[in-house]
Amino acid sequence: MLRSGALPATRRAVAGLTAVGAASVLLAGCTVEPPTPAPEAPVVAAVVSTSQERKILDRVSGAVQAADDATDAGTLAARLTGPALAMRQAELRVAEARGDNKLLTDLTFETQQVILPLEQGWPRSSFVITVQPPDNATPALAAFEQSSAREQYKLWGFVHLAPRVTMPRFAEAELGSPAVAADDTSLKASPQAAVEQYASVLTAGEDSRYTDNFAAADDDELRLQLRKSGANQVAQIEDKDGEGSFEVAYEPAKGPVKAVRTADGGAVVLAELLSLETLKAEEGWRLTPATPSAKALWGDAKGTDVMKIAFRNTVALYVPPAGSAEQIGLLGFHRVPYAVSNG
Amino acid sequence: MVQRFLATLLILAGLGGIGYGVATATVLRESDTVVATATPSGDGTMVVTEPGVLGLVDDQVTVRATVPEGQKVTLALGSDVDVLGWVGEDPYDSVTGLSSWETLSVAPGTGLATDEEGEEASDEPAEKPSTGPDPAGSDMWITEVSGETTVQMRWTEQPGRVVLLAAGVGKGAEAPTLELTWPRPVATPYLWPGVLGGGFALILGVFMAIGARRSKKRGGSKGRSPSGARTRQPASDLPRRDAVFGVDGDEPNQYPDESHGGYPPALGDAPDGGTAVFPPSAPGMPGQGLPVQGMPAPDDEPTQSWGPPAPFGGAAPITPEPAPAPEPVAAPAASIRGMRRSRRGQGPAAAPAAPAQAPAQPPQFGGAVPEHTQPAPAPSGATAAAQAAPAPSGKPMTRREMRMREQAERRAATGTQPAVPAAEPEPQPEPEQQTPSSRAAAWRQTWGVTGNDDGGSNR
Repeated sequence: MLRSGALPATRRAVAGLTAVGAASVLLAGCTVEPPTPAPEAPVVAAVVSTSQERKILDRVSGAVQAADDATDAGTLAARLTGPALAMRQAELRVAEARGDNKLLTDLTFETQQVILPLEQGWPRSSFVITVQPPDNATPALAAFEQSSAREQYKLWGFVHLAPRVTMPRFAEAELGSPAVAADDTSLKASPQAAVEQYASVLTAGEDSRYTDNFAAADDDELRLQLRKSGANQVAQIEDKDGEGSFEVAYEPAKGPVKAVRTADGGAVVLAELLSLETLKAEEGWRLTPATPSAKALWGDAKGTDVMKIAFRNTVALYVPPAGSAEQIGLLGFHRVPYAVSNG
Repeated sequence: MVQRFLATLLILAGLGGIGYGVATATVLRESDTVVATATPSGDGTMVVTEPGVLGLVDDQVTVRATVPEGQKVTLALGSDVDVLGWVGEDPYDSVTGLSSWETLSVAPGTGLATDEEGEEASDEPAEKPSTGPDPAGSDMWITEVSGETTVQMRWTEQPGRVVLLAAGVGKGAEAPTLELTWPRPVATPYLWPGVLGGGFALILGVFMAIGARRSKKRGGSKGRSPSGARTRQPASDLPRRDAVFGVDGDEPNQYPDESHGGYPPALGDAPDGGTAVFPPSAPGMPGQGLPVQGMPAPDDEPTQSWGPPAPFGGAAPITPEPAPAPEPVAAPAASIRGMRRSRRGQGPAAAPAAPAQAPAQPPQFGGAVPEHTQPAPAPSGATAAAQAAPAPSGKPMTRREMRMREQAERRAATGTQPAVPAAEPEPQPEPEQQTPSSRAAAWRQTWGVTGNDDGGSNR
């Protein structure tokens, strides 16, 4: 039996030896090269992630809160910039004058929508829409800016959305929304021009030559409020057999406007406007402000027949794409008195 | 000679293969981690990895940055755009990949610099800024860590182009030395092939060696004086056969009980192998076997049910008709469970009821199924059957002859007289040729003999 098995065994042995030999050759030639990096291709998407944005919002809120608690505007600059910084400082001045923080705008950002930047360069801007706050106020639209890579994101501006307003749609947060240049020509009016025209409309009302570019005054919460406020104040004077007049003058602030593309090709534009409201009465009248914030600024000053209150306004406009039948409309605004004068 | 040489070679190769296989999994095994270091070129205070470098070896990476004692160092992770944007026009080192398993390749970073700025950048920023800017705290970082001298950070690679920024911070800062550590799944691809292949070669070699030795001996037996091993060889082969066939007069006496146990399996084998040596023994044994068997039986449980099926082992399925059999249920079970179990149960069971055992016998013959139905055949019937067994195969004689020869050979060997021609062993059936059932029988013989009494009881 052994002999009969011997031949195959020999063959097997030879085969086995060959296999061993082959294996060792393979082994010898087998030096694993280090891998080379295989990065993902760059994608066009938001340069800020939703979670990063959340972190940014919390940091900004924290800084604002810290400044609120100390009623100290000094630390705000680290996280606020542009109109938001100026307006918050004005609010804090009012709060300081009043001795409480009740009039401070709530700047905790519980978001219902974020609009993230698409630009890889700087400055970068992101926007958030907050949820409806509990106190019957309207949601806010806030803009954040990172002016350069080594800067932090800062709150640039915020407005309360007007009641009954419908926000335009934006690109998905992850995809990112491109910023719109101030002189962009794809819109019914460039952002810069839209802001200037709006200031004109606010100032001159129906007499402005741009009035046709904008939605009807009855649909414009800011114009409604101004009209109502002026009428009220004049009425109060007239109630006492006086004669009064109310004037409003708006002009764009010097700072840049901020605009972001909407899904329909239009843009949402945020801009700061400075305004001066002048209430005049006949000689001998002593006018003092009625609103709590203006009152706080007015302090103990004597009233005269002229009362001037200077406001900082941030407005948000929707500018439809060029060729659209829609008109430029106000989305929201926020105004804070920053100076009062009796002469 | 060739065989011996080959055998030696095989054994050596087998040992070598096993050794190598084990070695690749132990001493030669690669490290579980890849640790690669980047030494900065000296320009700038920052080191930036290129996209993809962090996940080069594994998704899990541990980053370690070291700066001269007492200096501050910051590690930050961010998208490549953010990081390069932050670095701006400052000079930095770019980690581009692995130049070897221990070294990261470092190149002066080109940054995001646009065309014109790039030109400037190559001139001016070549000078190292006196103060290393600190990236710590930026909103853009996914994660960051700062510390003195050495900082460490773990990162699990995520989708996106995440890169690392390591910066020496402060006055006189230097770019940190980076160390990236990845776990690496170390395969031991040669362990089992080596061990198994080596083992195979080894076994083959051993067999060959034995074969060589044997054939040599056999060669010697032809003409020369037999060696001591010679006696051993037949002995190793024979015992088994002896047990199986139980022909030798002495054997049954030596192991009265066992011999009986042994027969039944042998019977079963007979038909298959065609080596029905049994018949002769059967007639002789019955008488002896019966009484002996009867004795032990009593204490055992009446689990006769096992009995019938057991003997057949594999034969059971062949007997579908026997449905009427005493314990129809048990039979299939036993057949399913396999022989070992049936055998165990059977031994004892068989004894108590001799009649019941009768059916057991048929199976031994394989085709004898019908007998199943006759529970009562009693010993006499069984003996008859046993006697019949020899008939089926006419070979018994040759087998016997062989055995006789073997015996003669054995005796001759012991008597130092090579009486048997060398060619004789060859006709012997190879063990490998055993059919499964015969192998089982052999197994039974070796291990289970003691319990298997049915054959005896039948008779």
